[in-house]
Amino acid sequence: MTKSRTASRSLAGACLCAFGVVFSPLAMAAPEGTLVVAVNQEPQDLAAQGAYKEINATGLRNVMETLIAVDPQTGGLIPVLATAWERVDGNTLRFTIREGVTFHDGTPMTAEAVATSINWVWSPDNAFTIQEYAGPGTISAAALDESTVEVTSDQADPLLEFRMSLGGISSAEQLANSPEKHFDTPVGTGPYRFNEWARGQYWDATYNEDWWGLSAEDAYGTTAPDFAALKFVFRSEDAARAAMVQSGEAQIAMFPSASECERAVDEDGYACVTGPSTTYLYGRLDHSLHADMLLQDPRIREAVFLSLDIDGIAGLYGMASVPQGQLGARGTIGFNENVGPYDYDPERAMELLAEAEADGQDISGLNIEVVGRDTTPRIKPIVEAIGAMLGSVGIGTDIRVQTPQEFNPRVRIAGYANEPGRQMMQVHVKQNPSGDYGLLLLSNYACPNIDDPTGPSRSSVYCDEEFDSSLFEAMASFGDDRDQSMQELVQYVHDRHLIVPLALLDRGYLVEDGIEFVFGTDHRIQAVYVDKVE
Amino acid sequence: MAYLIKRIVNSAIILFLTVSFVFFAGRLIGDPALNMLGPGASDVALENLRRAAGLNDPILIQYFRYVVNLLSGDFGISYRYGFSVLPSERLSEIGQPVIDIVLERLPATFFLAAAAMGFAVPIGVFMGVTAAAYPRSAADRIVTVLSLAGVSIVQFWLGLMLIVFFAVQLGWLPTGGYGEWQHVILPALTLAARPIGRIAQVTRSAVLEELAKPYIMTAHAKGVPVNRVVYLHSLKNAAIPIVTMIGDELSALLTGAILVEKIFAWPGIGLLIIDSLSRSDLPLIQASIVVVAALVVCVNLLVDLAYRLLNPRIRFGKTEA
Amino acid sequence: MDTNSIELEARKDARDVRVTGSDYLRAILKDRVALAASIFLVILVVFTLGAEFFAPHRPMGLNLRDGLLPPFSSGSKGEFYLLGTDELGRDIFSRLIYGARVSVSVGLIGAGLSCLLGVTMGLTAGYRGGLYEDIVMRLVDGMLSLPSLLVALFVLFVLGGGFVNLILVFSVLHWMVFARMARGLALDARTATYVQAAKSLGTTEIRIVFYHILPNVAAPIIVLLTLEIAILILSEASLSFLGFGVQPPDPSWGLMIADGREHIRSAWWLVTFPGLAIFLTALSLNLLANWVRAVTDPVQRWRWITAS
Repeated sequence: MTKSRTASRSLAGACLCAFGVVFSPLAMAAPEGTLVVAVNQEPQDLAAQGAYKEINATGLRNVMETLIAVDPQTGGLIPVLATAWERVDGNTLRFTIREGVTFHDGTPMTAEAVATSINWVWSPDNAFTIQEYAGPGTISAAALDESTVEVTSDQADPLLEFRMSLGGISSAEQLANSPEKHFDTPVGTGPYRFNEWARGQYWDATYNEDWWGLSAEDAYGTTAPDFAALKFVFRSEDAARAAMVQSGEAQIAMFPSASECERAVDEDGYACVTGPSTTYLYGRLDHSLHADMLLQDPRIREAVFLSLDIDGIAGLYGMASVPQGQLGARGTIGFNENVGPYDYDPERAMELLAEAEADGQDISGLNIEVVGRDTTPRIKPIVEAIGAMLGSVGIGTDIRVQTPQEFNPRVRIAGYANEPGRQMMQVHVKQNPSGDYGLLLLSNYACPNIDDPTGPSRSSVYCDEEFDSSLFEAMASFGDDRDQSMQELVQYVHDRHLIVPLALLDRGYLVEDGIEFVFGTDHRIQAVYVDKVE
Repeated sequence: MAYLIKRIVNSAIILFLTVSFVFFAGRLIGDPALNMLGPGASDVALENLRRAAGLNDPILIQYFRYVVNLLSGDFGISYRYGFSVLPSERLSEIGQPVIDIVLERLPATFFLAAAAMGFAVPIGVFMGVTAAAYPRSAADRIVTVLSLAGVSIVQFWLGLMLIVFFAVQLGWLPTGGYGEWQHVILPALTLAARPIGRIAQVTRSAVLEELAKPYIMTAHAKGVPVNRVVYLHSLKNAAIPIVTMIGDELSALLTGAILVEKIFAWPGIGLLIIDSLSRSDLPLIQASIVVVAALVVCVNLLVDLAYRLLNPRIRFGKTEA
Repeated sequence: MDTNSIELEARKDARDVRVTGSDYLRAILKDRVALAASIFLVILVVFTLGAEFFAPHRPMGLNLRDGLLPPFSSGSKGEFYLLGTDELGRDIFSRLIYGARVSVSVGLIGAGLSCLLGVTMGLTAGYRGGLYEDIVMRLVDGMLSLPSLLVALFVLFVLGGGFVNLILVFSVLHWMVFARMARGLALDARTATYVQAAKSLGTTEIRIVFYHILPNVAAPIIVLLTLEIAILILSEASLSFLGFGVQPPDPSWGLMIADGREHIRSAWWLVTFPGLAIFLTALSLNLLANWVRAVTDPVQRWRWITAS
């Protein structure tokens, strides 16, 4: 098994910070200095919905808070802007809103404002990218009284709590009066106030002395804010981010490459900490829809899978572990212990291809297009390696790394429905922060609906009515039933060689000495989890 | 005067052709409404946007509108710079005009170009004069090879090497970024390599030419020290081709800055162009190209006019071969 | 005789002497810098033509166990890697040789096509004159004042990258310098005696332009061609580096630099060698162009070709 060479060291580090510091509102020093974080990409926007995905809007959660959040230390849900919540029925959650909270623009956070914000973020008309975590139902919210908000999905939804930990709550006043500012001037309730977004350079925020968490018993975080200001500097080069931490220009550098992480061991002044994430790397091979007939021959599909040295690919990625023949990690509801990793057996692959050829399949017509998106870290060597591996068993390949503009339409139903029968393997990363196989199976294997091009399974290429009906049944169920039926579905898709899981990614940070940083599997950079230590 | 007018008209025609090219080439990429909203957009949203942005009109009408809008400084609304999805009926309300984004980035690029010239002019002139003062000596040969090296080097590679050496190994300068004086040194040096080479070459041949003239010989005969002859008399008279070359290189700098800004995370127009290309933000790409092209054409025009003003041998009103 | 008059004599002699190939050969042997440049270019061309023969390893051969080996190291099966390996365990030296094929052919074909286009336009414009000349020369002036790398970037963004598109874009964006020079030369030649003579014999215009004028203006055009090849090799590297040029897995020098960037702090050889290859190629071309310019210049020729 290929495992990160730095993982053991860093996991120990992460645990140390996780349990080493206990938050106490009394032990508060005045915040000073600036926490500079070198991040790998500039956000497209800083809209409230962006709080759901740290990679798209790194650091936004310091400004914009959610109703509830996932505790990075325990993985459980903790109160943030809601002090309590209860489930009314399968479709409905009721939140008690924290009192006395004000937005950074001075307007009070009323139940009405919270409902407005939730409706804005989850509106299907807005079609924000957060929709990838909506569905199958449509989510809406209403204020019941001054301190209660009710959130409803139009379909039974066991994951509604999780979804409510995603979207940021932003000022309703801003949405009403200056909606154009919503996208680049976030107004939230968090411990830091947005200051400026210098395009192409950085965005920054200053300490909010009126933050509710300073006086609340149940405030989240390992510490009160230690820094007077935060600055997120955009630097796409791995080497440049690492050099920034090494030279003291930054305190934290996001997502170093494996070689930079290894280097940190030999260097003074900073360390590399890594931890598992919910991000997985996979190769999706065209199947039912608009796929070349050759790819519907099970022997050819198996041959493709057998020709891939998955250990080698995970090793190439660097900080990653080898998946167990499925897209989720152990601990996810629905994880099937009995499913094993796909074998690497090029000889068997060649035999299978020869068998298929003997049956009249035109193997020379097999030319798989291996496509990655240029925003995925380290995608180029991985795509090139897959191309070479397929080539070594005699499968023709074209390899491509495309911009999101070219790539996205080719992956989603609305775009690829227009392509002629093709042989494409999409190599991509996705996240599954829900701790449950439901969303993962839905988004990867359920038959996409051409009439609903923003639907959650828009980027699936698999259509199987039997599978779909079992899946929808499983997704509406709770408890052991849910776990058991999802496990069966995991085995089912494994045997059909639909998507090859390539790696479960660890992600890491270069952290300056004297700083301790706690993060969960969702990898959020929040100043209240960053401590200055002696 | 006639030449001046002809030259300006010519530049205007070229810019107009550039604008037309950028408009029609942009349409080759595909449906602009789909580009804007992404493949997930519903038909209703697409139709709303087409109506709001006038994309249903005949292409020539749209082209005419585009040109007229450009003349009034309206380059359109950025697709994505500022938000990922926009409710199309509120396009003009929420969208950010691309020209604002482009103009915001220009000062950083100007600053970088000026700093690069700040390195290039003294170094290049010094090298050229040194070579001319001792023709066919070892110094001359070294200057020749060095100046050719300057124009042969891959700028982005040089930038990476400078980062490795000065920022990573020695830790003297930051790896990139913007704001303090330290940030400008490495990108400016990277960008200066080529103009140093060109200026050194031109200076060398211009000074050599001057040195061969009778007035220098006379000064020499009168016993004026060689150094003063070389550095003052000849340089002053050799200034015309050098100034022309500097102007010429200035327009090359504006495009050279694209890669250098990318390497050093310098938030100028080059970095903006790379970003907008990777985001396929068509209006932003088009505006950047038109603005940079206009700048380069203007610089070239000014250089050409300055050359004619400075150089008495070329008269206005007559195009030389 | 003092040195000045010797020089003058030599100049006069050189102008009158008919220069032969062996004179050039002797001249280049005397100039060590130009000699080194031409030797480098000859080796490069030989490697390019015989890449299959000279490359010690397959340029695309995957070998994940031997990733990121430094120069002069041995792989797990005892193979020798002269310049080290990249992260997929591919031999840098072999990839440089195959990359040369891409970079050199983009430079040669691109410059060749733009030369063909430019010289044709320039010669015909210079010879025929009139409105045609006016339009061509305005187009030349206008296109020369545009930022060509930026326009190339945009066109490749629209059309997509790749070898063929790259060459097409380069030919369309680089013909103007050839046209301007060819026209100037044609103007000079039009009045020259040998052209007048040909005309009086009733030779057709096309024949005059291509059989009489072209051979006599070849030297400066060759110099320009050499310089343009260098410029195009640099541009190819830049565009491939940005992802708009040659597409992987084809090795190109620009792509190799782009790939190695991530490891620049730990594996310097990934970026250093392809960068050096581009630099040395462009430098050699420039040095050679410089030399050709000097030896073919009738005024300077005496320095190189003297009856010593």
